[in-house]
Amino acid sequence: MKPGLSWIPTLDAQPTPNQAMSLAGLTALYGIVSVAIAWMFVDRLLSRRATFAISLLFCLLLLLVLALLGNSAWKLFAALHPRPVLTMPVLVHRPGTSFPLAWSFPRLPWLLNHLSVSLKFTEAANYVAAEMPVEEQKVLLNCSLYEGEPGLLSGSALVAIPEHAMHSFATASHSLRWALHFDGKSPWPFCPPLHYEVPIIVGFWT
Amino acid sequence: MITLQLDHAATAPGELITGLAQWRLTAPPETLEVRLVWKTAGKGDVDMANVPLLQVPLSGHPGQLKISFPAPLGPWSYSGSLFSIAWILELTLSTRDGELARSEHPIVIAPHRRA
Repeated sequence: MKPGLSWIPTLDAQPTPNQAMSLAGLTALYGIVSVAIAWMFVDRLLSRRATFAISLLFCLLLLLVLALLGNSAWKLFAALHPRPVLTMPVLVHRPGTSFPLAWSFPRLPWLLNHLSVSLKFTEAANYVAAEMPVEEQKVLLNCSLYEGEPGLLSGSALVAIPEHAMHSFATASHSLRWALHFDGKSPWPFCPPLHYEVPIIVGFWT
Repeated sequence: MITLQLDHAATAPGELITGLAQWRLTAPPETLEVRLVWKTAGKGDVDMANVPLLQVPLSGHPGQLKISFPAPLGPWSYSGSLFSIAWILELTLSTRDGELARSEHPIVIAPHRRA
């Protein structure tokens, strides 16, 4: 950590050991059930006791359990994502100023093989259309801060808030948000991509 | 009828907004109320808030008054893709019995004097 920079709390609540354990347990349970169903099906096929109806039933059951297995495994990998820990000097920034940002991945960095960090300004409006609540968003500024391999498990960038930037704004139906976006890809195709959004405040009152 | 001649149609936050309010009414007004209102326009429900600024007793004013007050620090006037934030200066002339006339005047409040 660079001297003089204060720690920002980690981005979102990490799963508790109990939550991670229950996800792992669920994944293991679906795995066992899918293996059992597949084994029973193969056994019936080999002993020539499988009618068309029973074969269809087994196939549907197997597909269902495999879908549940994939879903819980995806959630488990998402819960185990490496999380960046950030340092920056203050939380509120004025337009036309810049600040140093540093990040590191203290846990499971090998799950990442590509990282991009960007500063985005997003406009959002909430309204009701056809009796359904809608949130429309538009990214008006996307400024790349870092693009490449995570490499040394940590990195830094100078974040510049544009001179003519609008300040952060939020009401019941409208918002103007500034945020740092961390997007990462895993070397494994079955591992969900990482995405963290860290809001920062661009203010006129600093 | 009320008219307002602002010295500048756009001002920076914290700077003085100055102008001349003039009116011609059948009954003499007793007070002039000045307030600033910001509201959103475009997609989404309208959000708005107002900043009461002045309430001036008008005895002896000959149909006109110079007004001057600091612009609020925020929110800034904004023109985006989905919505905009606009400031409006409202003048209301009234007597004890009620409102006589009201007028609205758009004004830009932003650091670079443009939304």
